[in-house]
Amino acid sequence: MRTPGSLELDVLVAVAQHDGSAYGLLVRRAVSTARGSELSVGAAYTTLSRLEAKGLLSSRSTEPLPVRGGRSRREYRLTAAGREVLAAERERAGRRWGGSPQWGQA
Amino acid sequence: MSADPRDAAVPTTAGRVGGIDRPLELVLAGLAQDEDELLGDLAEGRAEVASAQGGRAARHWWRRQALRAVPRLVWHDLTHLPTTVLLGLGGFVLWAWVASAAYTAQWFPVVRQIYPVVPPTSRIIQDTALVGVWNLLVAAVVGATIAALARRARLAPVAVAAALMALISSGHAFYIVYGPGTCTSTVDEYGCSLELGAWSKDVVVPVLWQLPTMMVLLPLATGLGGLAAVAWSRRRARASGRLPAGPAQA
Repeated sequence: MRTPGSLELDVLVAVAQHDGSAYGLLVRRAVSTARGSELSVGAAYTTLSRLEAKGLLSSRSTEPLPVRGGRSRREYRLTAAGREVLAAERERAGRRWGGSPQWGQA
Repeated sequence: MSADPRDAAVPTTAGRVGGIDRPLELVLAGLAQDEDELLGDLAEGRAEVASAQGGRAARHWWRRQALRAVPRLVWHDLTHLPTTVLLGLGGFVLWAWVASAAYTAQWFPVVRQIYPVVPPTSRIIQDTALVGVWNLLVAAVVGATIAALARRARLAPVAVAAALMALISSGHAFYIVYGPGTCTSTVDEYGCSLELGAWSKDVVVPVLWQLPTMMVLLPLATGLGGLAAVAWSRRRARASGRLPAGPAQA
């Protein structure tokens, strides 16, 4: 499988943080905070959909909610493949940064 | 009496639904594979912004998010739903076939391409208008048909067909505009024919039908046809309880 891009990884991390109860708006907020720039609702929606198509996420629809004008929520959770991707990415980042000096620290 | 969340009133703090919001919501509903997910997120986000910053800011937030989502959704549908492109191509071929088939049909009023004399300008204008309206009508019907045939993301194939129509209108002598006509005589016959095509130097037809007007009108007609199909399918879904009742608002 192709390595996920940086936005996809950020979305996977956001879903992992709220595993099982992550949905578009929540993911959008988490990713926007992590990246320091606003992620659009459309970008969150298409990225989640793409990750689900890749088999890294699974989802289920909730009951309709009044706060959403009577619409349901789609809640996402990581699949086993999604967890593997995140673990591999963490290991890769550790290898890359593990031996680096702590720039900027006294 | 138990309250059904699907019938829940939209928070009034979210602001009044503006004129552009409903068509925009229809476009998003036609492009999203899961309408509830996208429009629900937008509705929830709007309510949050409304409670923090007021209805006006919420309305602007919703519109900005909705407009930003449209190109993303189109691209997402095109790259993730292979049938979208096929259906769009099929729609374009259908439009080209039906639109041009009429020119050879006996019932179509503009079939007389050989005249004993060059026809008057009024006749050319009338024929041109008829052809233009016919093309737009067929485009709208084709847009509605392919949107009705698509199972998900109904407007994505419509966008493909509309883009191809715009493309062919831009780079090809499209049978919308008639030239003034030329008369030729051969040993066997003498006749005057109208020149078809938009590139005539001495066109005597209304500018309305000339390029790039059709580049805009054809995709517009196709899109309106597609939107009509989306609105119809949503009305049915609402009647069966699969969508929130009442005027939907995100």
